Amino acid sequence: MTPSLWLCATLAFAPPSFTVTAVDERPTRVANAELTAEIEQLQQLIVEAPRERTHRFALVRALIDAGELDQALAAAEAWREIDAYNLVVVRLIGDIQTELGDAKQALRTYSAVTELLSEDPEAQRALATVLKAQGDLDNALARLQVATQLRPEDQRLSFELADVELRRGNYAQAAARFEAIVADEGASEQLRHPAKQRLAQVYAGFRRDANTDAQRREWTAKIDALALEGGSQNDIKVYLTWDTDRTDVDLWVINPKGEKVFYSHRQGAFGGTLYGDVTTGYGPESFTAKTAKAGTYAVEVNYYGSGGAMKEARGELLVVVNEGREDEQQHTFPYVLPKVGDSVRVAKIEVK
Amino acid sequence: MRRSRTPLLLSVVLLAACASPTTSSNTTTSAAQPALGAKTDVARTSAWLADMDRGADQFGPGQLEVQDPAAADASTFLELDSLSVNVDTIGPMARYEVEHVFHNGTDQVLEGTFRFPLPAGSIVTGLAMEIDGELLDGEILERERARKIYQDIVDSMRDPALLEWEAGQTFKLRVFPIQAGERKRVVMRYMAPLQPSDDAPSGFAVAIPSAAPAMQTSIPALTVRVDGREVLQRKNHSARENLSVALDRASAPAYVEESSGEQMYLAARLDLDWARVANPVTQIDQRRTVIVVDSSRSALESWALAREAVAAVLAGLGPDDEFMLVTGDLETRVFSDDFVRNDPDQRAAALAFLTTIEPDGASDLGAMITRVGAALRTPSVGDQVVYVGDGTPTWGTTDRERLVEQATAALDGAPLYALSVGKRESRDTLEALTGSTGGRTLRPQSVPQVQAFSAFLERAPQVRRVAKLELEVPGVEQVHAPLRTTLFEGERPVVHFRVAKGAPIPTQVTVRGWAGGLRFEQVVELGEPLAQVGVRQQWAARELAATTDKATAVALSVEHSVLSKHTALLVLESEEAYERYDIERRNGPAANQPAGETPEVSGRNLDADGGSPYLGPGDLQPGDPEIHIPAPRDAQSVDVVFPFGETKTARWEHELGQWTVRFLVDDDTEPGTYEVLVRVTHADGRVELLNLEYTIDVEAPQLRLELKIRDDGAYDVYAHQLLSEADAARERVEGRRGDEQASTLDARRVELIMPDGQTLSLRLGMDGHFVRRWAPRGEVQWPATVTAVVADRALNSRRVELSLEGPS
Repeated sequence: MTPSLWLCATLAFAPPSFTVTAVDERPTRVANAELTAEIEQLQQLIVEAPRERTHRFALVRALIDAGELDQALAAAEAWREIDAYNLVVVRLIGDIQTELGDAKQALRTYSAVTELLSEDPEAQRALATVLKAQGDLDNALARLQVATQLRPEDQRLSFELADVELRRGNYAQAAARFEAIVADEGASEQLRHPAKQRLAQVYAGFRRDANTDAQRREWTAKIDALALEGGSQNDIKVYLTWDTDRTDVDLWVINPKGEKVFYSHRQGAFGGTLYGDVTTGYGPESFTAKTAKAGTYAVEVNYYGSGGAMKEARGELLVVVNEGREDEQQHTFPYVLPKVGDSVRVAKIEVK
Repeated sequence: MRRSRTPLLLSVVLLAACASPTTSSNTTTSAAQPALGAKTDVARTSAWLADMDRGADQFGPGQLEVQDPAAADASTFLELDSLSVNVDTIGPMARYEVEHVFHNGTDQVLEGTFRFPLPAGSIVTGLAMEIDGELLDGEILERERARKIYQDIVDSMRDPALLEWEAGQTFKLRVFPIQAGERKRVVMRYMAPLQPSDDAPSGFAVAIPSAAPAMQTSIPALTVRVDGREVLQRKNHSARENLSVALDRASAPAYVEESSGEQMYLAARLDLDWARVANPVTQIDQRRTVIVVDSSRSALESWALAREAVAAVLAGLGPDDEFMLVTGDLETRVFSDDFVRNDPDQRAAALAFLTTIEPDGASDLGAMITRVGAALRTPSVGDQVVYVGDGTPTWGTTDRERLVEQATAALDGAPLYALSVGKRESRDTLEALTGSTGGRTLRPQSVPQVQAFSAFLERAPQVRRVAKLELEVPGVEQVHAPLRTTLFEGERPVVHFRVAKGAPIPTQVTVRGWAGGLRFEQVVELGEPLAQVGVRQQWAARELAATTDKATAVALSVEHSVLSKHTALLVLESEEAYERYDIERRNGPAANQPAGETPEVSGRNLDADGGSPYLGPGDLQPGDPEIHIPAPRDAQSVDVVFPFGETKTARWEHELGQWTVRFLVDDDTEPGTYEVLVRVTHADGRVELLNLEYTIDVEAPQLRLELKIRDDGAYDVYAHQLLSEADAARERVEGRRGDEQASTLDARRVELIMPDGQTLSLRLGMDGHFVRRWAPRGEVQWPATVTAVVADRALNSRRVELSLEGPS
């Protein structure tokens, strides 16, 4: 082999490097005439029908959009006065307090959910999402444990609990949960498939930590038994989850060629495949690029539809790069989409 | 088994504001009180604590609230026309049947909500409501199922009723319709603990919910019976207080049993020898009190009461005492980093501190305990902790046992007292915490109760107590007892347990615990249990309280007819409606026969009028029916001689107020009339012989329908019973007695599902036929098909499709 040929071969098989970064794409919050008029109209509507939640919700959102956070907080607290058991308003207050920099008070506000809706697994799940977004995995785990106790048959909850266990380093517990989902023939394939993918990641981790070849072969056999389409080693994997039932949130991945891979274009010509279009709540949806192309992948979330007027879409994106390899990395990004039609760019992955 | 034959000694006294601590001088504040520990006061401790514990300020008869016909947005109460309270004691509790008759004096059809507050520790066992002149018993069902059926019915049929636990000790029932001028009868059945009473020979009394409702000057007719004896019958009863009936010793036996199936259920009241319990600690010069207030979100609604509680506790402390005030939700805050002297300025500042806090967030009980531990790191003899809140941990450590361990270590011997306030009370957690530290949990409903608690706090250090209670009953693995409750001097805990029928019946209980910092053990002799009906339901209620699994709780509740939070009592308008919804009738006419109705074999009270006894004929199906004999309770014996040669001894049934005996009618018994001989040996030795006939009937009645048009455009639907050939033959043999209806015309219940979907429950008219007005919903094509359900006195029933010709 000539030196020049050697150089070419090295370039051709050099593993790609990935840089995953969060994109803060929050809309600019400024008052304008149109927004001011809307706020005044909503205030009047609330005077006329103080118990109409949609008006209350719209007013708080409009004040947030106008950048009037103090007023938004006051409007939300006034709403809570007459609607104490409404999860939406409790979360809104916590969100505003967070934006105002009072994280401690925000957590106190959020945590009231456990008092108000202690028997409601959805409320516990919603609180877990907020806690995860704040990086409080211990308490998120506790909330999801309560939620799964309340509804043990819910495998989606179990999936989320396993995810948090993984992030806290409880690999064996997480693996057991994913295995149970995979083995549950009654569970939907939309859930079993990502559970297999996550399980393969866990097994790959166990394989990396194995001390003997025999152990490594054992883990490889387990991964192979999962029969994952495309194998368990991928350059990029993205999971999207959300915490609201009866909502349709979509994962959009725009590859370096500008091609958008999403529910109506699942197989990108430039690489990458979308798995799962969950239209009724929770997810997960996933995107896989077995061999990533050089350039930037943009990961976006779109709030397509909801069964309720006040439902926000909240959740997390999990970006895995070098999946199943020695240098696998995982990154999580929370997102909030206040209303149907919203979309937001959450992360970008630069591939070199 | 021993059977009580001692006549009751009943005395009626007025119980002023029965649940109010002001009823007893012991529960008012301290200045004029002699020190507890003196013999007389110790004897009153149990009554004093019971007064303090009682949940409702003043439970009285139920109230039927309706929308005020005169004002659209206002509500009013229907007049309570008459009240009948029937009480039977069953060991540690009393069974109540409270019959209310409300009168709709308006000219409008009304919808009402019946509310019935119960004393703490009560067990709801039944509900009956009068529908179309007939008293229908409800059935206990899983709560969601009951609600679903109720909702399903409420728009299509009439008169369903759903009794549910509302809050605290109040139960509510929606009643619709209440016709203009109608008298609506509602009967509540429940058991309530006997009340400690210093004045009663037994030490106990029963409280009678007889206070005249606030919205009317008096109850036009009031009847009270206790253990089969009428203790009060009064017109225009106007007393605003409940009655209290003191019980003789024989009416409050300490050890009772009930056999049912393969089990024997037992209840024992334990009388400890308190003289052998270690004395409390020595003189306390200065007390230090840590007051912990739950400021989590669930405390918001009860925040005012919580602040009142803190004020009352502080007011009850001496001027030399010290306190620390801690609030806790997701974070803990302190009024002052260290203990402060209980002077007026500090008290005012502490209360002002509370006003600055708006309850919010989750409740981290473990963090609160940690903070208390830090405050008490240098323990002192007079240390105590008072918690005010619902005791429901929702953040951090939520496991009860871990919290108990943490509290035991942190408090280091200081007792924890709890005032349970808030909707989401975790009584078990609070009692676990207070019971393991020698304290006590109280759930106050009013400020006077809190004040009573404050007085209790002041005296408690001088009262003997046993904490961390353990009980051992030989041969019994599981006992239901207030193990988490610290016992104070004079208190008599009640233990429920069961043994397999035929197994040895325990005769003693070993009580262990901690008293005055020392291990304590005492054996309590039980003697021989007295047979009483109702012990099984008491056991079931305690089993329910200890059950966390919902399915198990529902099954227990239904099986033993004890209402739980997971079940509801549903009353439907007819037997057909129960059948339609596939509801098993445990409390229907077959199971809960009121005196004088089929298929019982019974008569009037034998000694009531001194005349010759009468037993009417009864019709029976083959099976194992009961004979009810209304002989006096104090009769020495009641024996029944059957035609097939066997003699059986009847037993006194508290629930029924009658003697009963069950016998077997074989499947192959020929239909016909049979005779039994009843021998009653009265208390004075007089023997009375009675002849009793019963008829074996295996055939359901047959009907013919007839329709007649009414003046108002509706119809009268008539159902005529047809005599079968067998009936006619029997009638020829039996003949008729005077003016009585032919014994073979024995239909007792006729229900029709009309072609327009309405269900009609026909009434028995004077001429022996059944009739009911029917206003069809829409056009009806003649002839029409009607589904009929008919049942006779022997409960033979038939469901048939009948053709209904057009009106005649």
